[in-house]
Amino acid sequence: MSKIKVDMKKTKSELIRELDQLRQRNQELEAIQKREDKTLGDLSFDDIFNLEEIQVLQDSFAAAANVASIFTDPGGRPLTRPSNFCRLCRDVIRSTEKGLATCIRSDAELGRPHPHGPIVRKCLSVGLWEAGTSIFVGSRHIANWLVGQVREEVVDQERMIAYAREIGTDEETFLSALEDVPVMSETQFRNVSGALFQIAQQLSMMALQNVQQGIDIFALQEAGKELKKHRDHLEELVAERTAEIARRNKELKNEISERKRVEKKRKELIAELERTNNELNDFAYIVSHDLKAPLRGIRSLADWLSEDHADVLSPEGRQHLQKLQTRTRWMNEFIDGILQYSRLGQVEPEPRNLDCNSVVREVIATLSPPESIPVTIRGTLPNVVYDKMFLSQLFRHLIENALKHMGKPKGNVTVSCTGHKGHWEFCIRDNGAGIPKKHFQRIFKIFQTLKPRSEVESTGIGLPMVRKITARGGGTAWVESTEGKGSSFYFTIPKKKQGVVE
Amino acid sequence: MKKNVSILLVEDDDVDAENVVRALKRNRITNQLSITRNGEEALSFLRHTPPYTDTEQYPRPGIILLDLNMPVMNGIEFLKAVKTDDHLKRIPVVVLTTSREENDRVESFKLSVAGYIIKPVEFEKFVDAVKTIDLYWTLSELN
Repeated sequence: MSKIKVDMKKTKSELIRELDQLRQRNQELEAIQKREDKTLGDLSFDDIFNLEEIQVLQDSFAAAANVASIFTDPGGRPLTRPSNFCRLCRDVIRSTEKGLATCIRSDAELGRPHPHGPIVRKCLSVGLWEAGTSIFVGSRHIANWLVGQVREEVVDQERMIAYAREIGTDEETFLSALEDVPVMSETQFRNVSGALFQIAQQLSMMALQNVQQGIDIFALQEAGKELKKHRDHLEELVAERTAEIARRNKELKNEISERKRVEKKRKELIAELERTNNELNDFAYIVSHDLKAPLRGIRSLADWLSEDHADVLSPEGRQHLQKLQTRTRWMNEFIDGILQYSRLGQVEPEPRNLDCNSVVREVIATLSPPESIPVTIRGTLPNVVYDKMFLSQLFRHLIENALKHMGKPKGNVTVSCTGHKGHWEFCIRDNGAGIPKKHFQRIFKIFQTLKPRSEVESTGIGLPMVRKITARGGGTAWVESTEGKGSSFYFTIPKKKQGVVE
Repeated sequence: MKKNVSILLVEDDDVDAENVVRALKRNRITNQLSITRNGEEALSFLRHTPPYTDTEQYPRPGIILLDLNMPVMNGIEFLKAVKTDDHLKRIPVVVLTTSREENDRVESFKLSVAGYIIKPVEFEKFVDAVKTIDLYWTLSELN
């Protein structure tokens, strides 16, 4: 490890800062190493190197340097076949149990991770020179390259013999083999070791590159697989979506043709409705028309009799003629009333924003009530959204009724309004004769009058019209009355947002 | 009303016809009044086809009073026939209707009608109608 040079001139804080930077740098490097280790996983030497090629390298180096050589794993177990092993080591020492164990231990120690240079020393067995260098891939120690089995010129024979005895081998054989061990100077051996180290460094770097490449290729292949998977998945999705769209399309088409069918049916129904409406309209029209024509004739004839021949009639005769004339008038009004009442169903209301005050004033003006029975508005009437004709009719029928059924020469009629949540309640009140309670429902039925026709010129359609109109407009009509005191007729109009016309 | 102008009344109902006669009499209108009972008869009258071949007895009217509801040929059909006949279309026609709705109905046919009187023919209404036509004739004569 290289020593960190401390510059004494720097201040304490500067040094601390430098120290922090170094710590950080160290952490970064450790992280990188961890990543590398992760990628290397369980790769072994023969995963990374071609053992045959390594064998060739080893053999040629051993032959060139005249040393023995072998590659082992980090634990000392051989990865290659030994090159150039001397007889002593190979046959004599390693064939004994003890000797082999010592050699292996020796080899293992040689292969200790030693990143900055070869380990050079004398072997544990007989003191032969040996050197080892570690092969790293990244930071991972994957193998050792060992050389050795050379001796110094001079040997300690005593020691040799002692060892031979120790491991249980023949002394003569031992010494003879020892003689055959190549001689090399320490300097030369150190040169060889140095070269070994350099070559090993290169091997390490190449290994790293190989692994990196392998990793990259693997990653690329994996990415390719992943891509294919995604593409397939995508195709699946597209097919699904296409099927979905086709299905939806079909559904839409069905819906459209269904809608068309319904629309056609609707149009047919509307056409039929219009036809029926028209027929009814025509019917009512024709009926009233064909009823009125002879009626007109009867009236004219009665008038002429009265005009030209009253003098030949008795007073009774004249009276009869008069009643005849009156009744023709009633009949005319009845027919008009029926026509109006039946028309109500056919006319489309045209709702507008209306000021009830002006509508009522108009109606009063048309009716021209006698001075003795004033018709007044009490308070201020609101604005409503309603059909103008219908609203006029409502007020007209009720005010007209009030005037007709006053029962006395003097009285008054008032029109007022109360606001409720959601609707307006209008009231036409008179202080006339009043109505008995038992008649409250009956009078709203068509052609029902309370008094004999001869007394009151009434067609009896006013109140039925009021009921029908208010019902159509979403409201109701009713009466409250006390005999002798007067009557109050009410009707309601729903409140609608101003300006919103339904 | 000019003395020499005759009136043609096309009306099938005798009481309605009587109404017109009395209305004219009341104002001492003495112009000749001819009555035909339906549109076909009226056309024959105007075109002098038998039995109306005598042009002196059956002079060209200066005004036609027309009822709409008639058998055989109704008022509208008659009106169309007259207004498309070059010889007849100049004669002013006053339609006798039963209601305002009927006025509208005739209007909708877009045939030029000189006026409407709602039955029963009231005297004043008749006079008003005639006055308008008189004015029309006066103006046209100025041209």
